[in-house]
Amino acid sequence: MAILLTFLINASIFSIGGVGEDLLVFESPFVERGRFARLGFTINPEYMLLSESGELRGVFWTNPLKMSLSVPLPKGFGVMVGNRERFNQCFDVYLEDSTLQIHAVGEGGIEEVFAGVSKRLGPIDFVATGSFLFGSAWEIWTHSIGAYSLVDTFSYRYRGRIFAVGLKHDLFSVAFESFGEVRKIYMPEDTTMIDLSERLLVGVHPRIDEWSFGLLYERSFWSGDEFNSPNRFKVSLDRGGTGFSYYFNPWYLNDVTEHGLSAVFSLPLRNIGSIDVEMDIALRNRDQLREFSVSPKLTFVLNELFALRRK
Amino acid sequence: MISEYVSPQHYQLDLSGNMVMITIMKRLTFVLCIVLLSCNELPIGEGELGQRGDFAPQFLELNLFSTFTEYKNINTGNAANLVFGMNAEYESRVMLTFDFPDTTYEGLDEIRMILNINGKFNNDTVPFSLHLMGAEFNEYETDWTRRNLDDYWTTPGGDFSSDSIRYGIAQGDSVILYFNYIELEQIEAASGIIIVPRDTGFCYISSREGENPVRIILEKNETMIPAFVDADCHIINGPEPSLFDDWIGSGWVYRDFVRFNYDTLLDSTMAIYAELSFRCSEYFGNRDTLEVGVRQLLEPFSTFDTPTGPLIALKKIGVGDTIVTIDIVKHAEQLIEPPDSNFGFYITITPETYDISRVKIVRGSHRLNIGYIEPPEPR
Repeated sequence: MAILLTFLINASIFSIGGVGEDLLVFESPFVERGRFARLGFTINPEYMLLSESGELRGVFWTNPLKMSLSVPLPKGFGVMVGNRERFNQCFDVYLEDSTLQIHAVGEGGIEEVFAGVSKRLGPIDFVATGSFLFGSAWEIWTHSIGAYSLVDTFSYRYRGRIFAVGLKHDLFSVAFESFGEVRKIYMPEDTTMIDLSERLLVGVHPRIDEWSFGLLYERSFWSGDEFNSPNRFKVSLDRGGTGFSYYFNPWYLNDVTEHGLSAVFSLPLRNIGSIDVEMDIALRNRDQLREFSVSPKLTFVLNELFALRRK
Repeated sequence: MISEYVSPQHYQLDLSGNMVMITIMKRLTFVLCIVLLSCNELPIGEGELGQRGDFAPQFLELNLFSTFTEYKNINTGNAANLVFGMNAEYESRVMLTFDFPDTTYEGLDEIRMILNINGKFNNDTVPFSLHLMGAEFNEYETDWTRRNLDDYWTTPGGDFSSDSIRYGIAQGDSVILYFNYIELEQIEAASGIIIVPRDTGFCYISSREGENPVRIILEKNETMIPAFVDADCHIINGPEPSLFDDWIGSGWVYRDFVRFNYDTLLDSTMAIYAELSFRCSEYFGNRDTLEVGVRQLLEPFSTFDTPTGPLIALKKIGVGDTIVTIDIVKHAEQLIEPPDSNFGFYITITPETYDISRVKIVRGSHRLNIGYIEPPEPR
């Protein structure tokens, strides 16, 4: 049972700070659009190996199931809805002083439900989305000195919103996310308003023969001095449904950097949709602490399955 | 058949290669176990907790402000045991009334009263006498001086006839007393009966709140007709502590009031433990262990009956222990949260009516060590 619990409650150790781990880095508001409605499900577990001063610790986390639905409408319009997790606040950390032991466990985060509309004007797709942010998180801090222990519990609830606009051409894309704020209700009554960062995402993705190149640049703009406003980039290469990418993701939290590699393979399913299998490995570190993350991602895309069968 | 020649050097190389492989596999197995099981508790990344506060533990000993003993002759109507006995300091008597069944007593073969001795105590052999009471009492209000809240005994210790109806010696597992018709009628007509100890020593019998209460058996034609106790309690007379004695006790109840000075170093901190310790020098009682409890006062001390909260700590100690330590972190939390609520606390023997016992605490030996940290900050 203890093992099972550990499986369920671990995530990046760095998510203990700020509002947690930002899970939407390099995520654009665009949803792939075609002739049919598309329904996508994504499962995204994460294995992590912590390393510090020669010691190792393994942790495991399963992100919530993501879903998205895009429906093409007449006259170049389209609508989309979906859900995803924006900030992950899970962690599981032990501290040992000479006399004091602390075991801090956190679970939960900030999730969102988004809805958007797109319009195709000539070669350019325009998109605008709005997201309702919600979620809850709790933390249990168990402090022990000798045979004595004391538990301190935190509980948070979140409510907020954020908006994004973007345009996408075959060669480039630009997206901007803004007006993001989330109200943190710290039980029982304390309430704090958090201004989320604005986010600019610029991408170029030229195609040469069957090869598709991609270069994404992202900058977050956090107000105030509490968090960094980092510059991130990602380069990718894709051919025939198989792609590789490298990204550099400095976190908004001080001194946390992340280098990652990912490989994606898209397997088309005749008359149904496709399965995308993505393997993402990343190395995050702050000072001597290293976190090696292995994150397989499995996405099922269904192309208006029931309508096709009726035909 | 072609066999390949393997030189000793190659053989050694092959062996060492196997050793390397085995070592690598062992390490890989270890890493795999860590990754797959994810159940180790190594303090890796503990520095990350620094984002939420400074968790260096601090320790502080609070200064003792005052201690003294409060005592009271409390009612024992709800006690699980009935005690009769005496020594140079205490005397305890048991009072009983019975609910006799509505039946004719003609032709009874035998009338006997059974007192079950509670074997959980180190009972003494106690001679006693049984007397008819001349005044009624209220089981839940009476004590050594009062028969109820409004009336006092004519003679402290109960009003009863000087002539006993029976003598007995309490020893072994139980005491059985036999009566005749006349004595049964006298018991029925009296306001109750009282067991008065006649020599030193203490004996514990079960009350009706306990396991085997006292009962009278009326036997007729091999049929047993029980008469159960209608009311039972014991009344105790005990010593008064001197001004400089710190006592805790049950039966004749002593509570040790203790108050420590609050230290502002504790402001806005979080106590993880608060270890109260004190030394004990003298024990009196008929048990091998005692339960010591702590209750916080809810308002400034005024009398023995100053309102207290629920038990915040309970510790079983052995009779003869010279040092007692109890975790009273709830008291430390109470001190820190609303710091103007330092009204002190009582150290008691729990439950206070269970038996007759007493512990002398060495005056000034009370210590309260608090371990605390800065509490973690919310996100």
